[in-house]
Amino acid sequence: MSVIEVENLSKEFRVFSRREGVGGAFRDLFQREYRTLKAVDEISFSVEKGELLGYIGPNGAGKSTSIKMLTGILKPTGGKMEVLGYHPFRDRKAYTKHIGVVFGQRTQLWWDIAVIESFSLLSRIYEIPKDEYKERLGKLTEILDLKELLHTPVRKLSLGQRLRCDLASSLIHDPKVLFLDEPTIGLDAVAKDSMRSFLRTINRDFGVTIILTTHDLKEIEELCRRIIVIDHGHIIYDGDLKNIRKLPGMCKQVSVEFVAAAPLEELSSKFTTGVKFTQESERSVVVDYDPEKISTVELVKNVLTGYEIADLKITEPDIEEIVMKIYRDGVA
Amino acid sequence: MNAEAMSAAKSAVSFDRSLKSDLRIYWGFIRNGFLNMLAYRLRYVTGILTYLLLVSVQFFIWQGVYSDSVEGASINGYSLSEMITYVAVGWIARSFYHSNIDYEISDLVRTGQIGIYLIRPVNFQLMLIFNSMGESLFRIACFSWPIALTILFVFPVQLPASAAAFFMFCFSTLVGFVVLAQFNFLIGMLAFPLKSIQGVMRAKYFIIQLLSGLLLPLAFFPDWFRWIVEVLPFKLISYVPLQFYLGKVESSEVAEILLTQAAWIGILWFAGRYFWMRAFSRLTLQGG
Repeated sequence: MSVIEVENLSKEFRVFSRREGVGGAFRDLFQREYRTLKAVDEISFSVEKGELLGYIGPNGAGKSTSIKMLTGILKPTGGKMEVLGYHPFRDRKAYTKHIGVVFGQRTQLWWDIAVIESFSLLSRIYEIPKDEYKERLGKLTEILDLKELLHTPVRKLSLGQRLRCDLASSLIHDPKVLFLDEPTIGLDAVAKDSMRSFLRTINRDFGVTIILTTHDLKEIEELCRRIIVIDHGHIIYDGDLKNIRKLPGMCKQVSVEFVAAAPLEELSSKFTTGVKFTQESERSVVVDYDPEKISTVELVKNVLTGYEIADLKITEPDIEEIVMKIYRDGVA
Repeated sequence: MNAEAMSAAKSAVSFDRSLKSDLRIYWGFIRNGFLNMLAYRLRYVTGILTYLLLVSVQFFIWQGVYSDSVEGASINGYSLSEMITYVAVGWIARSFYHSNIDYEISDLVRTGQIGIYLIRPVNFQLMLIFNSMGESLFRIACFSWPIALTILFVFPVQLPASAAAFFMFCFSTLVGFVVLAQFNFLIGMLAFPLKSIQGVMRAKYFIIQLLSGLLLPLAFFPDWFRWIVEVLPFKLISYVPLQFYLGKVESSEVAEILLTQAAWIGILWFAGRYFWMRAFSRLTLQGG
């Protein structure tokens, strides 16, 4: 059963473009120039119940804008969307009862009052029965290790502590879908790690569907099976994270260290397409090749015959590199 | 019982239930506002001194104004003692009905923090008004009464005209709070197109003091100006409650006043709702 259905969803902004200088500022007072910016341009996808989807893209790609539309706080300018059977914007009040949202860059807890007071206000807002609230708070306190923090005002918490509290607050009403917009931004390695294992737990054990945006691709690799890559408002990749390595144009790499000087020219003449040689040092060469055009076995066999080799290393492309390449060149 | 009556009864019950649960939700915001103020309670010690100073200035001005007239004489229907009471009680009440909703909205818009409130299943308008109510209740509990005691101790202030007059004063001050809160909400709506409403808020601050009758009773205004002020809702904030306090309202006028209060609360609510819907559907969230 699909939880999220998005069809040709778009968001345009009218941006006021300022003229330069003092004279320009004066002219702006009387005649404004606008241009239309398509932050999200006809995207379509659907998410199944229980998925943990990575939603990634460079800065300004339209990630946050799509998340804001899906959470009901921004009105789309075109297209259809449906989450849990609701139209997020039109049915905001009814809809938001069933989702949890964390914006890593801002807190949703009340700044000056103790964390526990924020939770208790939320329990009223979401109309959670007392027993249920106590039980869930107990559970969240335990897994997120909040015991020491509950009676502290939010402004006195560290970033990591605050994010843990924010995450708890987004789960206190047992939401079916959780939207996380850069939830680990600025966290140290240890805090990130515990955050990840927590997300995995709630996804696996509680069946919460999670949409995660982040710039930390290691995190995506550890958590998500499926990713959507968005750039300039368009979806440029939607599919299995593993398959992204097999996309055409994704090169693998072999480093070869020869016993004698590297026979670069000889090697280059052996292959026609899909292979690129780069000399690293006098005796070593890096070979980038397209596994679609030449298999690893064939390549290695060809390189090995006739030369004495000291060392050989095959590397899969790093997820970070792949995604960077997708951002740069798009998907071929 | 026929089906129609059944369904009517059912909808009455469900209305009652939703009202009850709404009250539970928004009581949470009252509590929240109260706790928030508690976090900065020290700020209010200086506040008490400020109010005392403001009333003192008014006291000396009015003493000067009345000094030329005969003992017990009245100007525009107010004796000196009534005038001092008007000013002192007016400022004490202000410490209750005051609200910052316009400032809060402009801050939420400027920082983009408004998004955080919209991911919650609550009515934005009610949430802000009830939160403000909590702050006002805090001021009554910790702030208004020390001001009242200090002012009553220092200045010759009359007691309310009667128990009924005092009750109507309290009730009307509560109405005044709601009217001002809703007006502030409307001012806050300007933050969406204008982004910065510092100037508007400053102008509003003085205009409200004048039009609400906090500075002067309406009888002191020239006729044409008084006519305008009578038509506007701002007199409900300060002038009308004080008329009740001083016993200057005939019982025949009460019904009309209650009707005016209800009408303005309704009008301001729907105006607020209209502009909020408009702003919300055009919202562009700043930052992150």
